Formats: sequence, structure tokens, C-alpha cells
Amino acid sequence: MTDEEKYMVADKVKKALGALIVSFDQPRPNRIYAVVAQDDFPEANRALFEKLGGRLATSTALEVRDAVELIYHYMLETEGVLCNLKTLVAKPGLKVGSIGAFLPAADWIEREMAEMYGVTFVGHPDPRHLLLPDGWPDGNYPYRCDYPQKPDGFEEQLPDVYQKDRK
Amino acid sequence: MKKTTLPIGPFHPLLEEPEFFTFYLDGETVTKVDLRIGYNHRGHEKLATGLTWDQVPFLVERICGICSTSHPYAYVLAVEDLLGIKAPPRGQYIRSLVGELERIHSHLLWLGLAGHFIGYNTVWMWAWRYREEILDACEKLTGNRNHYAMCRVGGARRDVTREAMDFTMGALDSNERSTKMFLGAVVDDPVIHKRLKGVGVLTKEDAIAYGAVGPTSRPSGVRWDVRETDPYDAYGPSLEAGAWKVIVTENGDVFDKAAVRVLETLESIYLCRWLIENMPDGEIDAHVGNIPEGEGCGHHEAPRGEVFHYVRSDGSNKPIRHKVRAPTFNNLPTYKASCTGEQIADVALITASIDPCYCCTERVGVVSKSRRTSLTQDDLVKMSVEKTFEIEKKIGMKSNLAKL
Repeated sequence: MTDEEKYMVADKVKKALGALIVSFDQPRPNRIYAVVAQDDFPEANRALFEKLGGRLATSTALEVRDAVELIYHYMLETEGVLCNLKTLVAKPGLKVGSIGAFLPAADWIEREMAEMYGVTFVGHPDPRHLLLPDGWPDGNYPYRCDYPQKPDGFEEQLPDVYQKDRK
Repeated sequence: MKKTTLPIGPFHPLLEEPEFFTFYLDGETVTKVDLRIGYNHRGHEKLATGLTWDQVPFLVERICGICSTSHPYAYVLAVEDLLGIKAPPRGQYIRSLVGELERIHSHLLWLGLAGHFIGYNTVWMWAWRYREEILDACEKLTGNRNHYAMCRVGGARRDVTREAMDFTMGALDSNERSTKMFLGAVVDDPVIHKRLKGVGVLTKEDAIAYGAVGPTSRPSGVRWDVRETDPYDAYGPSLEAGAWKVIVTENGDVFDKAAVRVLETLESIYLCRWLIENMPDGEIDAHVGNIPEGEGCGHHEAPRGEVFHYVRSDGSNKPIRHKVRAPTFNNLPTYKASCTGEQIADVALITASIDPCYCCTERVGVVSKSRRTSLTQDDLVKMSVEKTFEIEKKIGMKSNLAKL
């Protein structure tokens, strides 16, 4: 696809997201950044996956002053454009609708963002820890800026199956 | 029948990437799969925010020992995307050449292990022997068999010599012959057909829903290859010149996954040859200065699928956020779809088919209410090999397999 054709993809994305868009930017032909409101986030994701056939490459969370910023990276494979859908999830509630509820590709990455940044994904099908052990104390989020080096009162655990046999 | 739970993992002293699987069995059939990861979480994303932009490629190079150029490649593409620049042509071609050589040796490594799992130890020995030629070529070109450190923001870190490229051409010629021999061996062997066809099928719908990438999604008929859809560096010009093509098949079973990898190895050989023949002269580095505020995404099609990196800068000398996503992160959850309904003897094969690290199958405990036994990786491989024996017997073929 030529660069002109890639710039045309902006119209498709704008049409699919409709009135949900808060701001929109296409700094380079193959990169789109669209921002939507926190409450519209699952709906906007559904539009990108179902209407445009985007492949969810992964998602990124990063901490800003009063919020956690979520970026879901959708690769529009037929158009050759990477469409990044962003939202700000306000502190201290940090609650947003789960995308993993309807898109299995978001299942693991949402578990990771939940334990590393403390974002609650409402309606997630399997809200266990992914990378951290099950015994990890609540309220400790390692990728936050204010995280201490090691949480208090934490001991390493083996998976459940081995623990039962240890008696 | 009594329900059995079969845990596999998590630790293996030889390989990286420990995983823990729990297979819920009904007799010998897998009814449900649960995966736990995180036993070797090294915090690369957090570490990267403490390093300067030029130090990060060395850090991310150590994420994986086999596809070691993929992560720095995706990272430098992300930073170049942030800057809005492109590397000079010779720098681009060198990076793509190293990336493709890596694909060849990674696929040969997988082919060898896949052969070992079904009891074809000759395939194992031969595939790894031919892999050595490519590693030697890598050493000539970059100075190292692995961990090449060829990527830097704005270009390639060092130039390649004409002599090294001639040596690589020789290695590619020899490798093309051996890969074609492997292709014949896979396609013509009736036992491999019976053993691998229809096993561990990943449907097209599941591949799309799970966001599977690389040689896990393409055998299921999903044409996703970022080298083709979002071409970067030398992949755009080589695709226009018709030097290589994307391999897509329809069945999604283990046989197709093996066939796609062998065919991709051949395509990579053609592409490497094209890159060496068309290697432009000139600068290799754009000499990048300060990194301004902004954000960028970069992705590279690694041997196992798309590697994705995202960076955010606040104008200082370090990234304030660096996201890394390896292909196995998206490919592992597809077990939930591809293992369910399969025999336990096929599980080692299916888990190997997406090419993760194999540590998971080392330590196996069988747990049920009445008894508790332990299986090692050898036992699992033995189960898989025994099944191949039975198939050979059924089709009335004299077995060439080594006695267990």
C-alpha cells in the first residue's frame, strides 16, 4: 500500500469509532493514535476488532500523574496501519471495562496490567495473577513509580498441586 | 471414569522460560488446560527505564537466546518511529540479513527438536548439523554465533565484509540442498503424515481471537506477517522484487506448522541471497543525537512471530516506558484451543508445535486420588515415540526407529 492509501485509512478508523473519538492523530502514514473516554473504551475496542478486523498485538499501561494510561495496539493487517487506541483511567478508582471479556487476545495482557499497575478490569473472565505468585500481598504494584523494592511479609510459594503433596 | 489432573512444570535447569501447565484429563483425553507463567520474570521493562537509549539494545538482546536480534531490532524500529527517521540503506540491509539468518537457524533448531519428539533422532542430528553452517556464517558476519549486537538506533552497529558475505553465500547454498532434503523427508514420509496430520488443530477463528502470530497463525490460514503488511527496512524492496513470499496453509495442525517452518526456511534462504546480491554501498548509521519527547511503536517478524516494542520518551536520555511483547506471549494461550480433546501422548508434540522453550515438559507428576507417580521428559518423549511405533506397525512398515 502506498502512503496516500495509508493516510486514507484514517477515515475508516474515524467512521468505525464515530463520536467516541476525543482526539485523533496520524503522525506517520502507518501509525494512528486515537484517544477515547474511559467509559467508551470497551465499545471502541469492539469496533476496531469487529468492524475493522484489527489484530490486538498487545497493550501497554503507563503511569501518568493522576491516572494510568492504557494503549491497545491494533494492527490493521489488510491496510498495513498500526492503530493505537488510548484512554486515561483515573486514580484512585482505576476501573475500566474488560476487553478480555469478549476478546481472548486481551486476556493475559489485562491480567499483567492489573497486577503491575493496579488497574481493575471489570468483567474479566479470569482475574488471577499472571506473572506474580498467588501469595503476592494486595496493594503492591511493582511497575508503579512509588513501588518499594520488596513488599513486606511476602514468602515464595510453589504451585498449589505440589503444596498438597507436601504434607 | 476418574478425572485426573496432570501438572507439567515449572522448572527445568537447562533451558529458560519455565512454564507450568495443568492438564485436566478424562482417561487419556485432555478436557481442559490451565497455564501459569511468571517463574522467571526478570523485569526487563522496568530495567530498561533505568538505562540510556543506547544501552537498551544490549539489555533486550538478552531476553531470548535464540532469536536474539529480534528484540533489539523491534526496539530500534520503535525509536526510529519516534524520531521519524529511517536508517541508511546499507544499515537496513545488514539488519534484515542478520534477522533472516536468525530465522533459518531458529527454524532448523525447532525442526531438530520436533524430530526428536516423534522419535526421528536422525532428523534431530542432521538439522542441528546444518544449523551449525548458518551459525558459522553469523560468526563471520557479526563476530558472534548468537547475540550479534548488530542493531543500533539509526542503523547497523558495524559493517559486514565482502569476504564474510561470500562465505555466507556458500553456507546458504549448502543449506538450501539440506532444507530441500528435509522438505522431501517431511512431505513423503507416510509415518509423519499419519502421526502429525489432524493433531492439535488450531482453527482460523481461534487463531484470530487469540491473536496468534507467526508460524502459529499462518498454518491456520491467517495471512499475518508484518514483514509483508507493514514493511520495514529491506523487506519492502525485496518483496517488490519478488525475492520471497509469505507461506500460508489451511489446516492448522502440527503437520502444517512443521511444513510452514520448513518452507519459510527456504524462503529465508532466497531472501538472504537477494540481500547479499543487492547490498548497497554507503553509510551504515544515521548518527542519531538526542531523542525528543514522543512515542513510537516497532515490530519485527521474529522466527516465532511478531515481536512488539513500544517506547515513550520525555526528552531525557532514558525511556520513561518501554513495553516488550514476545510472540510466545500471544501463542501460548492457543493451547487452550489446540490441546483440548487431544490424547495425552500428543501433548508434548502440540506444545512443541508453537516452538516455545521446552523446559515445561521436564518434570511431570501424575496426580490422582489413589496414586501419585512422576514422569520425566524422557517418559513423555517415550509415550510420543511409542505412538509413532504403533502407527508404523499399523501401516505395515518396517521400523527404522532406534530401539528404546
